[in-house]
Amino acid sequence: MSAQPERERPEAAEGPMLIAEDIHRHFEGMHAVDGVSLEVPRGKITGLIGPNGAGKSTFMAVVAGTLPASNGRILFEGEDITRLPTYRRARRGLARTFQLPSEFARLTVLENLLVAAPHHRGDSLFGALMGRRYWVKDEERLVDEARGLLKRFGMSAKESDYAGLMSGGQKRLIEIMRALMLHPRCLLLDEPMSGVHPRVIEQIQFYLQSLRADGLTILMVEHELHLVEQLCDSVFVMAQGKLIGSGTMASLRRQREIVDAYLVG
Amino acid sequence: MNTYYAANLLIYAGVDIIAVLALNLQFGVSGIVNFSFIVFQAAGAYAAAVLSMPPHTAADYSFQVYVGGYQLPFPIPWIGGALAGALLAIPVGLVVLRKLRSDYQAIALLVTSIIANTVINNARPFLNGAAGLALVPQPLENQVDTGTDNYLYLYIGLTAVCVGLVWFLAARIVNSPYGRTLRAMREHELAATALGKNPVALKMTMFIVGGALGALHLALSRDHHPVRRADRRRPGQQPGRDPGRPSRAGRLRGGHAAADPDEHRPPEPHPRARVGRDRPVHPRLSLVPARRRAARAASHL
Repeated sequence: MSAQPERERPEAAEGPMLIAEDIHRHFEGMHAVDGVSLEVPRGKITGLIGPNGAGKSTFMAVVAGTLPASNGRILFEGEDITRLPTYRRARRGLARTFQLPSEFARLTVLENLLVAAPHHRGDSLFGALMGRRYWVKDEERLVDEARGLLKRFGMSAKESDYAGLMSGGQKRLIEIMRALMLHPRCLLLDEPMSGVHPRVIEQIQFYLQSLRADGLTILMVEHELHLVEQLCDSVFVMAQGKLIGSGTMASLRRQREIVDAYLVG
Repeated sequence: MNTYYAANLLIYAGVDIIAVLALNLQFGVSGIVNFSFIVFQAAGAYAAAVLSMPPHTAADYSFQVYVGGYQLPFPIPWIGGALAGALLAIPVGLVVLRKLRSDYQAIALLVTSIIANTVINNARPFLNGAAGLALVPQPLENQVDTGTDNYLYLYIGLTAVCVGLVWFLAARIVNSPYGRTLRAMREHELAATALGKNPVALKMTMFIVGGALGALHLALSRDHHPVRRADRRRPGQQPGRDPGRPSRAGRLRGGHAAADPDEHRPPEPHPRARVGRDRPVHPRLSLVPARRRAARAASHL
């Protein structure tokens, strides 16, 4: 079925883009996320840090809908999306990337981007059966858009290569570009710099800053604290499934319990 | 003689191309491991049979029991067969494809196949049980003499038309943005879902399309319709023909038997059929080897 737009809803221009209220996620007896509440402001990059096993990725999965919340409420642009499946959250403009590379390996780089494009007449059984003439204009428009993104991210030369053959950093870029093809309002990035060459990290950093300048809201899980400090306007800290602090990196460094829990070294 | 081998090969190649295209849409493009494909093929064969046969109360058909029997003209039985496959795919897909992970889907579909096999073989009032259906009318048998070369050529033509249509349909799907989305789902379902794609809807659609094509495949297959019958025509069906005389089409079938003698050994009559009656039609759903089936049938006599 086609990814039909579901985002033509009144813009709540004021207030946070994303609100998580008392989110719990249990796996049998284990509380991976234990009552986390946070607000992600519009047009900013918000960081989510914490030691391994703190529940950051689980929290991101709950927000994106990949995992259902055991308890709690998620508001996206004022709308309760707690019970919505992942694909419907994505259609509303909540896009995510994954901790591990999740490229479509046997599709080309360009195809990876085109898959994400909404509003495509050919992306339905009916559209497919109608034939190329029915959807070719959409395809041309979206190919132009995807090529624009590839150019912006310096990957034009790779558009016809299989995504599975790209390096780790390039796969990260593909994921980010793919999410951008969705025209998201909020982007959830799960360790976008993990396993990436320092030069590509600089690139990704630059692109994220430019996306923020474009007004995109970003919630980012990251372990590289110097990058978090440079990129994020505000940071939340998780440990053992709970939120233990928030603020700027500078203010967090002054809080003893947070330093003890995570920031030592 | 060579004409019949060639015709046999062409028709089998054609119907098998349809099955391959259906499987490719489901597994190759969409990543659905459908171990119950045979169930949809059987649905097509049975549906086409009961749509073209008279009611089981009719003269010469009373030795078997089945639902339906509408005597609909060609090509309605084939279309009905394809529709039966599509309709059957809906409940099966809703049960299997919604909640289960892909490996469990494969297991559930395999079990579905085994359940269907058991039910069809044992619920005799439904579709005549393990004996299958016999005396299924051939397409256009009232218009064309089914024992002639012309009928073979006609059947090749019909098969070619079906292959062409299915090929066209499959190409349109695979080469479209929709096909790209299906391939993306095959590669990484979770990532595709996070991009706004509904995997259940995508899988259900391909399950139904594949089910319809699989059903068409076996509705079309000569195992159930055409020349297989010509050498065992029932007496009086076509005046002037000697029912005991092997036809060219029968030799064609004999040629096929050379490749698989067990599967094409001389027909065992249905337990309730009179000796010399037509061989029961059975869509090979049974997991029991052909030799053991034959032994069982013989023991009923």
